[in-house]
Amino acid sequence: MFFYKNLEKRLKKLKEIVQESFPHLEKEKISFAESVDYASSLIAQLKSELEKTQKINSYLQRILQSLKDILIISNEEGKIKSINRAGEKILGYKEEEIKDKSLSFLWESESLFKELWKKITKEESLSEYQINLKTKEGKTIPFSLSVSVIKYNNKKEIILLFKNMRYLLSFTEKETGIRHILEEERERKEILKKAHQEMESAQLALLNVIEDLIRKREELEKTQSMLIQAEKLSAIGQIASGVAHEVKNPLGVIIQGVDYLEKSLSQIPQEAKKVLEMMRENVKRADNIIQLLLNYSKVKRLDIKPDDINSILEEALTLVNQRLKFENIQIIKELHSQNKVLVDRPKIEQVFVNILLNAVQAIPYKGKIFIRSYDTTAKEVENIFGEEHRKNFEPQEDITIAEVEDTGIGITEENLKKVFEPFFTTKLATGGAGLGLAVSYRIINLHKGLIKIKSQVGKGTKVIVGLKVAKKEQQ
Amino acid sequence: MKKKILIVDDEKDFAQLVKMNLELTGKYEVKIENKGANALNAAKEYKPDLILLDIVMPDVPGGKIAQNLKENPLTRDIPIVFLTALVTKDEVPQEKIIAGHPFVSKPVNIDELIKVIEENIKKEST
Repeated sequence: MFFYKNLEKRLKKLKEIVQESFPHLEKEKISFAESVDYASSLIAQLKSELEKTQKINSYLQRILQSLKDILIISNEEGKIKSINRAGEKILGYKEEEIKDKSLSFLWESESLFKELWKKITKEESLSEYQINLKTKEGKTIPFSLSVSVIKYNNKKEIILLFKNMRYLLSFTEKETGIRHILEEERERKEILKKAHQEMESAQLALLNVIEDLIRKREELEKTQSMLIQAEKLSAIGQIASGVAHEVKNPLGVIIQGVDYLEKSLSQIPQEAKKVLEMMRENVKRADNIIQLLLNYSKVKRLDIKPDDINSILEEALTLVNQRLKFENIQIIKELHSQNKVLVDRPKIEQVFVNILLNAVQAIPYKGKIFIRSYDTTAKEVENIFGEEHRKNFEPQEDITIAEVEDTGIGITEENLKKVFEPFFTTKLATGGAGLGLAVSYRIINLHKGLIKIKSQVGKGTKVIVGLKVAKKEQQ
Repeated sequence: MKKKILIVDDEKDFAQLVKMNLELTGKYEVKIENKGANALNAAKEYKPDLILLDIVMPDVPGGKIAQNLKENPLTRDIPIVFLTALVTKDEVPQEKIIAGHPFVSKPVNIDELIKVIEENIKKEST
């Protein structure tokens, strides 16, 4: 009976449990035996339910354990209740080592954990929160944390899912890659910038080279034109010598004939006398031209001595005055040079005679001629002579300038380019041979000096001659 | 007594007119030699008081003639005046020969020429 009662008690208890678990059974009438059978079947049912639950449980467990992300379940206070295998593996702790410990020891600092925990308990959820966890080995690994809160047995359980690093790492890798690419890009930009700068400076250098080339070409052209001049000269020289002989003998015959006629005839009519005089004059003129030609082509050697430019200018002026009258021309002398110049005096005199003759002839009726001399350095007159002056002068070299300036008709720009060419003349009508300035140019060049002409039509012309100065001991 | 002048020049017209002009003065007797090669013999024969000598001649150049004249004892004392179409000393090929001898450039008028002749002619023969 005891057994029965005991059993009944147990069955009753069982019944209560069953009724509690399976309320739909309550209304059914059951006999004890039925009850026992039923109970047995219930137990079997329960067993199978339990097995099912266990299966689901282990299935869930397996899923959880197979996660590559860290899953930690903690209580409301943050004490660890369980950790999955991935968690153990990544963090380096066994579950039993950390069970019931506060999660905070995994955080970088206590304060960071507290801050986060406040947030979790308040919001009861969290997603993709960036945090760092410390491993057992002391490494710090970045995670993306998602949190959810569930109630179990009236207690809150906190489920923390730390997203596996692979994605983040690969992202970081990508970022690093991008950073590399950016850096490479920056380097490339830097290289490009440098290349650009180099190109710019190369361009500048190129420009300089081009300028230099242009200058050289100009110099070359000048040299060429001078060579052509020189060739012309040598041709002129040869012709001149030949012509001199062939022409001077007939001229001699004419002069001697004129002399003979004048002297042999006791009475020459006035008209005939005039004719003879004209013949004599024109023989002289022809002879002068031949003389000029010969001078032009034969000037090769100089007899250079230190001399006074002022007296040379004075003498040239006197010579010109003998040939041309210039009552209406005011001569203004500004002779300030103190240096002795290195010159072949008769030849330089010839140069200034030529220049002064041109000046006088350039003044149609009334005007002024300035004759100047002054001492300077090559550097200071660089702008007057330009490129050319480097050819014959050192920058610091002392030089003397002699200038003749007139207020005459001037020379056109086009003609100015040709004034030093042999046989260039605008005075054909008045018997100019076009050799005066050509000879002067040649003589000045032989002196290693420079001659430059500046002119404005209607205002006048300035001829500037630069000459080398004798050293102090030569003076 | 008239001074004797020998003109050595291949330019016949010129030589002839100079002769006419010199003789017109009444002071000179003039002989012309147109060939350079004959100049020395002509000088030996004629014994002039002065020789007017052209430089550029087709056969023998004046410089060479001057040299021959100076080397020959019979002619070495005869003064020479070069008379030439050459203008400057640079042009004269035998500068040494011309050095020391006066130099008259064509075309020369007779008064200038006589002036030079008178300056150089042998004085002792007067």
